[in-house]
Amino acid sequence: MEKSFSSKLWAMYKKDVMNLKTESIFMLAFVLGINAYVYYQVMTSDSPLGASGYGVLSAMVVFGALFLVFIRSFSLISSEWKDNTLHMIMPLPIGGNTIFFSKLLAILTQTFVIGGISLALTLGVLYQILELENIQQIFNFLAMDSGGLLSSNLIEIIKMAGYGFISFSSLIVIVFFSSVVGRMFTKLSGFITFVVFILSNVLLGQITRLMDGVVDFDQGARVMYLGEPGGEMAGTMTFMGTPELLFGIAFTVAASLVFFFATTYLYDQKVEL
Amino acid sequence: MIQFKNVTKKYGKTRALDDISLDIGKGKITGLLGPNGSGKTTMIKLITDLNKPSSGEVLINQASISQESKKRIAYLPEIDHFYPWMKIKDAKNFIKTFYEDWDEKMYEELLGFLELEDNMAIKKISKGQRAKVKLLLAFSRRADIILLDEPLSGIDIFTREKIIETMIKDYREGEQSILITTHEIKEIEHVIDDAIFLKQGKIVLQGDVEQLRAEKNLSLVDLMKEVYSNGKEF
Repeated sequence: MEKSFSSKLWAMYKKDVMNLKTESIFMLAFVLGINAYVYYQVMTSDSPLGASGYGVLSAMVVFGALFLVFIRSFSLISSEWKDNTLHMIMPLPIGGNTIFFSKLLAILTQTFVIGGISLALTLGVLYQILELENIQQIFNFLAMDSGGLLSSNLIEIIKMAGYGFISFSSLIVIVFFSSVVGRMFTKLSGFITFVVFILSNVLLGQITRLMDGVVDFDQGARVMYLGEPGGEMAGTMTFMGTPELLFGIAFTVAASLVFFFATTYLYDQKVEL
Repeated sequence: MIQFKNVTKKYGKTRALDDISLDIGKGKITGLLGPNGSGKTTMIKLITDLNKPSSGEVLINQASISQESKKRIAYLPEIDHFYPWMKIKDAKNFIKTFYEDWDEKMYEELLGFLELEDNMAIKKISKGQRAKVKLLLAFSRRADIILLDEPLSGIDIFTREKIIETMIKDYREGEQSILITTHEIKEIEHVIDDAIFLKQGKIVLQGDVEQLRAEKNLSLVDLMKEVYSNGKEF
């Protein structure tokens, strides 16, 4: 009986998730450790940073964890060469599409799990150190321009989070592309990977700038002021207007597809052990 | 069944294979013989698509290497190629997903024959046992083509015997083709039907083993010594 594409993809996905399991546990331990440290410091000492400072530190851990996931995506490709596991993957009757799609799904799963747990821990620590009575107050604490971030800006936040997720996926695809190009060279492979990654992002940036004249990016943009209610303004956050957001999503998806298929073409046709 | 048409493979300035043309017939056990660096592993890698020819082409049943042709090939590499977290059953469950010719009954039989257990962590077992695991996964399929790259390398004499026994145990003569690269000619001399001697990327001698032995009046081991040590041309 012909093996289905979905069963092959599932097998590859499970394998890639297992490859990321150990380091995911280490990343979670790191996140947990930082949050525990923050909580301990705030609760036991008169720290110069103060509760807000530790809150910011705790929130930075979320981005730190996501940065680690991003960095690891480079070695997810190169380790197949280093550990000789490519001898198991390359002779399989599957193409680069399945191989790289499963890797992308595995990294996004890791992002959801680690990002989600980090965020939950950070909110938990904020909840404790600010001595709040309910979760809603955490969001109120961050938004001085309205009664609550959740109620008045929820749609904007969801849109921005979705766009951020698409952009992160696109970045991972460019990592795959750069790594595969790098692997086509026996010497200076890591350096070539780095240069291709930078150049690809510069190219995308240039194209976006060229499109600036076509789309009115400022239309519908909205600024939110951050800070404690009644207190000083701590900063601002600009939400993209609908035209800019739609253009951004369309362009990012299109660029990702181009890079993805270029990656799988190079893998299928050019890449060797 | 497997054809090499004027195949040259270069790694930088080094020619691993130099204009090789060859036809490996169906249903035989063929030995790819030669010293280190003669091009044996490169030939196997070209058939599995791990490497691409610099020029010329490799064909399987008249067609270029493709996902379709890969479905018919079982490959045992010389190096350890398992993921560190894999137990034997994980490797099995992974591999069997991709091949229609996976034979679970054969797997169970071979697992016992090779004295292995499903729950063994591959990273923690001995080199000989890992060689057996590779063999287990290659021979649990009813593949038309089985490629064995140095399956006896660095393995003790008892495990070698077990490996050779496994090779011939369920071999389907006339249907299945086995291509084996090795330095251990003595051990496989009685198993192989055809021999191909490689030297510096070129074929220096090839043919039916019985015929070669009769014509040259030498065993394969002695033939190899003549070819590689004494530089004799046949």
